[in-house]
Amino acid sequence: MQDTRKGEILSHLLRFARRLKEKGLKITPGRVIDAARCLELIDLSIRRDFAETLKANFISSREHLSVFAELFEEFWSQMREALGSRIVPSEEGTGGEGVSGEKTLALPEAEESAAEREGAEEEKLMTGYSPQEVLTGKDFSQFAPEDWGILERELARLLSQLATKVSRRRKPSAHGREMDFRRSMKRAARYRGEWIELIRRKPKIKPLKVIVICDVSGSMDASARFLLRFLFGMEKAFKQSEFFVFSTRLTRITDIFRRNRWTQALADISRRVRDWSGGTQIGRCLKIFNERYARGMAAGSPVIILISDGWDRGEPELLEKEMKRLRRRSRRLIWLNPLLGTPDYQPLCQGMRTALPYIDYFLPATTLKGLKVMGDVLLAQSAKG
Amino acid sequence: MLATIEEVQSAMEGAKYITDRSTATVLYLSLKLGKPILVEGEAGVGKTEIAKVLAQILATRLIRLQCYEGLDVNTSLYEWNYPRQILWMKQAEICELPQEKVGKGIFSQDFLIRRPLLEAILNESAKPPVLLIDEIDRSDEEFEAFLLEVLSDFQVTIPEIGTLKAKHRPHVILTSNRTRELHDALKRRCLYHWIDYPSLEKERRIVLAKVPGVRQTLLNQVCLFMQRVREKDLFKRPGIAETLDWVQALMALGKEELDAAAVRETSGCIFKYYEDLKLMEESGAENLITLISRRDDLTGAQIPCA
Repeated sequence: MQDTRKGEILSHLLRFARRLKEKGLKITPGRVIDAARCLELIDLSIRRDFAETLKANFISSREHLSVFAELFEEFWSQMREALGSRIVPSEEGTGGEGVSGEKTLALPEAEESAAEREGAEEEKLMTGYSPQEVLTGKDFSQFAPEDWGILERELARLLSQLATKVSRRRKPSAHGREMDFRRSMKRAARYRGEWIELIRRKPKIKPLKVIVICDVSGSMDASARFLLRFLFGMEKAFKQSEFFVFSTRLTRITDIFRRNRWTQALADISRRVRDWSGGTQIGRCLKIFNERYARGMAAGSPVIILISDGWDRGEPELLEKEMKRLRRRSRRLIWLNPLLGTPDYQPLCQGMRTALPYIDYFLPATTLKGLKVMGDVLLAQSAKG
Repeated sequence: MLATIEEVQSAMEGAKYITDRSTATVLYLSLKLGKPILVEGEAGVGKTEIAKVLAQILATRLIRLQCYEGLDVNTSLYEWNYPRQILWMKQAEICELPQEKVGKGIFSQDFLIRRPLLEAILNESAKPPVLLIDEIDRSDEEFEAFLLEVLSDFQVTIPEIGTLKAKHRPHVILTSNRTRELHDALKRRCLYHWIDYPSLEKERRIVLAKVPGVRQTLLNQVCLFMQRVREKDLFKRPGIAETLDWVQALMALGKEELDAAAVRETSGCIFKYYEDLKLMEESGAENLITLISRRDDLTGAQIPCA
């Protein structure tokens, strides 16, 4: 291949890589170098080979396919225009200098700022919200429960037991049940092959991953503060945990829990959660969770806990679909229902009936006893590994 | 051999792996660059098969590492052969061998059990082997980090022996079912390839290549049926593996063409979940059959047999 052509293509390639990067693809210099090396190996006049080659180098997930396809179209036409008829198989370029670093990296200013504007617009689109939302910056500290003290101690004890799960990896232990041949052998070599010390091992304890999605819509008002207090405690006990609240839309509050003390956290949450006491769209919020968060968080098979009374204003079909997806992501799916503790309660409302088939454990939420039952369930998870 | 994309593709088809040009392109680039390929796609579309076929057309060994949660260095890289070491030590004691000789002896390569990764590194033959790391998404992050190290320079350090380096870098293929997201660092080191469900035409050619005795009518109907079934919202959509199973099952039962009864009898080949079976029963496999038989003459005429 001739240097001039290579150089010209390289500058286009760099620009293309940059555009992809702006769209959120993970482009590294190493990848661009490899892509350039790949282009030397193929016939540049065949469009699909060209596309496949760049695709294999630049994308790393199915979701990137559409972004790539869109930008490639643009890239290809630009390149054709710039290099014109010279990209034909029979083409023999004239020898010349390769393109210099400055030239390849210099991009027109205007283009860059245009890209930025585009990005800003996208962000604007993403933050739209539904008209049903009741925008009330509610002050939680108005509620003053009497028995926080006892409750907190009970919860702390419960949570510390829960925070582990058993792994399939092993670590040495004097009272382990299994023999550790590897270590025993090494030890025996020290005594000329006499097996004086036997080393045992046991399963390594691994933190259990928990994801909690809590309903804070109007119908949950009575128990919301109590539950948040419990979740706040959970965050401290479980090293790997994620917390979300929702009514008409989903809000992640893990970071607030992590940074703050309880009173500050409460204030921050009420500031961030704009749709507090709004209507309920369980299906829609679960969809957002499944699409935006679940992929990254589902590693290490988490226990997912949903807290809601099941009064859903959305379509039952959507809820069902999303419950199905959620269940697949989770090690166990637990639904805590604050109404379940009250006598005569029957899960008759549409949302609850739709969701029930996908739930592993359906438990009461507002009594300490109910939370203890949930604790037992999580403990059983830990023991099974 | 394998100097162009066309040659890779035809070699693969020669090995009965019907593929499209994009797969061949990625394989070709991987061979040329010596870069691993990360293959993703739904279950049963032939991800693992790529590695097997590659080993076949390169006439080299296939070394397979099946991943699972908790997979660690001892089961993926190497382990000392403890019983043998003990026997040797006892023997040395009886023969009164000097102590340093014992120490050196039991920690030599003879006492090493090679697990897949070490096997790939120490492979002695002139041709580099194909290393298949299957379902990498099932292993945990710790193993992924370790794998990253191995893949970057193909050398390992065993404290008792020293550093071992691969003479020839193996061709590496990783597969993932996307049950979890892989780490970016690992992805960056690989060429990426997504395999989709096959098109009607491709599926027909695959079935024909794998099940040569299949009758034309049955072939058309089965492939059309599968295409339609995959449009439905199933828990687990059937892959090519299921198509092949199904065709063979139908042939074993002596069916010459598809009807509702035949589908009912053999539905276990296609649907692997009770929910899916039920969905198909309710939404009417019969409807699909009628749809297919109506279109059958048309497609039979349109698509020439490959």
